[in-house]
Amino acid sequence: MTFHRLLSLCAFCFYLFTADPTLADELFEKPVRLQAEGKIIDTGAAWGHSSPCIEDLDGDDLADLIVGDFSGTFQFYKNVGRSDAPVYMDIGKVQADGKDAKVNIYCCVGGQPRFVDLDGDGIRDFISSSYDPGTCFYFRGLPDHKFAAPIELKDKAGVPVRSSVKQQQNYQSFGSFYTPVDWDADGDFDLLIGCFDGHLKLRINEGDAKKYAFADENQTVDAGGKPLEVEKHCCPVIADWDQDGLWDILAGSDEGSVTWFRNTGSKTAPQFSEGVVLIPKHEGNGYKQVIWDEDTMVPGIRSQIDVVDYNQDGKLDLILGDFNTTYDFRDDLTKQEKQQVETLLSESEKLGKAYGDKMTALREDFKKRYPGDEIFSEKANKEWSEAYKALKESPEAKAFEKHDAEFAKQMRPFLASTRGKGDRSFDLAKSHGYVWLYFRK
Amino acid sequence: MSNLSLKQYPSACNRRILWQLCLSCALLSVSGCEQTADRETIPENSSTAHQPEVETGFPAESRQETALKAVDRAEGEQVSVLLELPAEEVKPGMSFPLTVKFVIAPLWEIRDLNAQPANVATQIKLELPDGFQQEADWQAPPTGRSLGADSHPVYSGQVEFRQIIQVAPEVTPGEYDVSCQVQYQACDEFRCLSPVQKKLQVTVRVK
Repeated sequence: MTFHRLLSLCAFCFYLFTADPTLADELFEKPVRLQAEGKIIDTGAAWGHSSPCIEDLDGDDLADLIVGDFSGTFQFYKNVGRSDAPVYMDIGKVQADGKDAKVNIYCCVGGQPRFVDLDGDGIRDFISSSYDPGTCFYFRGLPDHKFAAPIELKDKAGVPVRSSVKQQQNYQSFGSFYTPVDWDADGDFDLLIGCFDGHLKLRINEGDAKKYAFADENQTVDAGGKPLEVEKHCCPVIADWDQDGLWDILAGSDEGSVTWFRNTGSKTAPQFSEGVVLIPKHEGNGYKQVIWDEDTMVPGIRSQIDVVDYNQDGKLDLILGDFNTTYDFRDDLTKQEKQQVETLLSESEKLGKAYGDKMTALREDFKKRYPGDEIFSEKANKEWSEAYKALKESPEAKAFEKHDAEFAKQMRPFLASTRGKGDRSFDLAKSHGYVWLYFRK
Repeated sequence: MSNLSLKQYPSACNRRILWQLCLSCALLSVSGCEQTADRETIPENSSTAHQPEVETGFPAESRQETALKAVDRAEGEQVSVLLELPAEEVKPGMSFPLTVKFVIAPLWEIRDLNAQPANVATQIKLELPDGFQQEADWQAPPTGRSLGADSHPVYSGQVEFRQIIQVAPEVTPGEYDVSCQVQYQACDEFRCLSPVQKKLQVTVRVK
């Protein structure tokens, strides 16, 4: 066999290896980004983190789209199309008590709305997660499709419902996700609490369908005989995914994946099998994406999801909100210019990795040597200050910093727009938050 | 209130000399920190944080240690902030240095001065009495890179922002309060905490 034939065979084998269809390919059509008024919905101006939810918000029997994001507000996209082929019009922010409904978010997540009639008055309310304090905010539904000012949901003892009941630090419940579920089929809504660290808790409603009274403890939800867990930012939603008559749990994650936990229990005693990844994690960290062809674009990180039969074909579909930052290249870049960009990016990545590796090593060393609260000791602090200073003065850091400003300067001519006007690579890529629709095959 | 612009790496020679002279002096007086944020990052620290104190005559090293303890790092504070002035009494017509020192715990970081949105950026605003004026822009230390995935510019470890305050010749003898509003947001690899605002205050004696 000649060298060239061998090379070709290797390349073919590599293709077969890397091009294996994923479960997502088998289950779903190629995902598309939802649009409103002819434009792709993008929460990038608010630092992304789209958090979609489907609900008939205005009572016209057409399911609308509500999208939370990093701003903590909720955008109302009215369905002006058909029930099986929605067309969205941007109506503005969802209002509560005459103001923009809002939860407190300044890191890492979007405000995730979930609709439910929590007080059994026949009017749909909605709840939303928050980043800080990480508790669940209840927007009671009022007549004429209005909402009251938010209140924090509290347990029967008056303590806010949250993922960490007895907090050592006030940030332990930050970034929790809430979704209603009648866990024990007793006719009222309990709460699933997706945790920032990826686990899932349950807060039982000991009241009834008219008057909620949440327990003062969480239960841990298991799957496959161990605590249910995704790779951080567990954003749960319930749906009978396999249509066996029992609701299942689907969960988004920090890394952008979607995992299905099949309910193998009963209507009054749910149990869950080990998770099946429906959508694989985003390849890469979601930042500074290079997209030459929009048709190849895939969802970013921090998937926040809803499940609905979007086109009413009897099969449940998946709606996924994401976050990413992406370079906005000029449309008219020549092949040569693209090559220049690739060269710049390659060099930047190499220098960034060298610096990043040193930083990671330093970080891991401190985590190991100073577990728990020891990290706040004077000794750890002194050592860290010295080590961090040394890191900043290392050849790797200096090379990266020197290169970074030059990189930003050289990249700017290739870009149609940038995140900011600064001279760092961080100032270039723009944030986005799309809403992806995965039609079930 | 002086809403001061901040620039990095000013390198005026005369300022350096002045710094060396002034830092050789003992420190005069420092107060504790007053939390003014709606939500404090670590409520357990509020008991010490709300009690301004005045200390005089400490050698520099000793006084620094006392100040660090005053913000209660042992209970898990991610960031402590210290406002320092020289020990010498100030004479009208003279200048004195002022330092805002952040001590950021291992694995934690705060945003740089230009971060967006502004409510997560580190901010330092002086409130100076009549006759007191900042001489130039702040001297800001070089930033590092975030532990997070996007490597945005941050500060970690111990960082100092320096300023020179000019006392006008016509300022009459007496005690004057110099206040500094500080805002920062602490983040680690995975999460950020509530933006925190602190007010630090020192008393300067003009003789």
